[in-house]
Amino acid sequence: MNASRSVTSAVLAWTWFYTRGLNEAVRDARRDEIASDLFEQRAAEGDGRAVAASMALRWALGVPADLAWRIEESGARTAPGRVAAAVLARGEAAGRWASRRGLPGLTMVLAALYGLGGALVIITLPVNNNPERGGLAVFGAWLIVAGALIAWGARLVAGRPWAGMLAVFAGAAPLAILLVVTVIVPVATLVVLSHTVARARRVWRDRRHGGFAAPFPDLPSHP
Amino acid sequence: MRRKPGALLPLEVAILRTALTLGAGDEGEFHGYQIASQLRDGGESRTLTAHGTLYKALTRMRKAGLLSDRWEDPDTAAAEERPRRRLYSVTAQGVAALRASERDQATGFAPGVQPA
Repeated sequence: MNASRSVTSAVLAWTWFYTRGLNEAVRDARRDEIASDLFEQRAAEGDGRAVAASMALRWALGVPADLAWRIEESGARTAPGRVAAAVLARGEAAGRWASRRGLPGLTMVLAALYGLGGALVIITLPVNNNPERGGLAVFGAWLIVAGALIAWGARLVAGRPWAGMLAVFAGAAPLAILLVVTVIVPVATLVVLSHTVARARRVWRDRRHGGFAAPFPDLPSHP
Repeated sequence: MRRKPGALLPLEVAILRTALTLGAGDEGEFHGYQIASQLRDGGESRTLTAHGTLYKALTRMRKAGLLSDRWEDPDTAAAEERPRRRLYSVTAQGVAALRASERDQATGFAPGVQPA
């Protein structure tokens, strides 16, 4: 089974999961529409690894919007439902922002999520009655350090590819393993790590050819 | 920031503009992947718009009357051995909303959002 076929199966399984229990017509329409989209992308762009990465990125960045859509369609009017919708709306906005900027955007979203998540864990410690507060403090600090490593490594990779890659891997990989059950975190991490390696390889290739890599080739230049 | 009722989000503006100016498929109709690839090729985004983001926006626009939709004939899809497509087209209301948004932008009024 090739990579894009595997991602197709994963996206269809995710679509089946988040449309469960909805009105039959709404549920089937969303499932059919996503199946059609995946087919059309593979028909137009082929079955290569780049297409699989693109499909995985579209999936990962769209998860908050999928869940927000699910809440809207299920007509949840409860307080937790409204809070979840508000949180997901922020996630959806981050997904749109990252979509416009491509893979560097996803890297920064992942770094920001870890940083904010860690800050939230630590800030709420005083009002948290969990007996494992010591462990939570360590986890919060870990999230912040991971976010900082990813953001720092992403900028560093253009000048010092090995150090940049190492920082991004050190920040992202352990949490992806820890949070593997979320599916979305390991998928986003895989895409970010692939992108980081590709950037480092571009830098090495440019150096071999005697050129100098732009410090931040993915960022738009100033007017 | 809260969205102004009836105002368009940037993605909605991009979808309407792309569907109208780049030209969609037959009879001005387009399907989801088609508009995502046109948004990317037209420079509106660097990657294909995420599935969730795209189809949530299309749902919202359809419910607001900016787009109309229909499912293509299953026989057509079966003949081409692919899943059937959901085809969208921009309505007169969608055209009017885009023009109003462009007017707002031209006059310096930030469209789509207003202070809470």
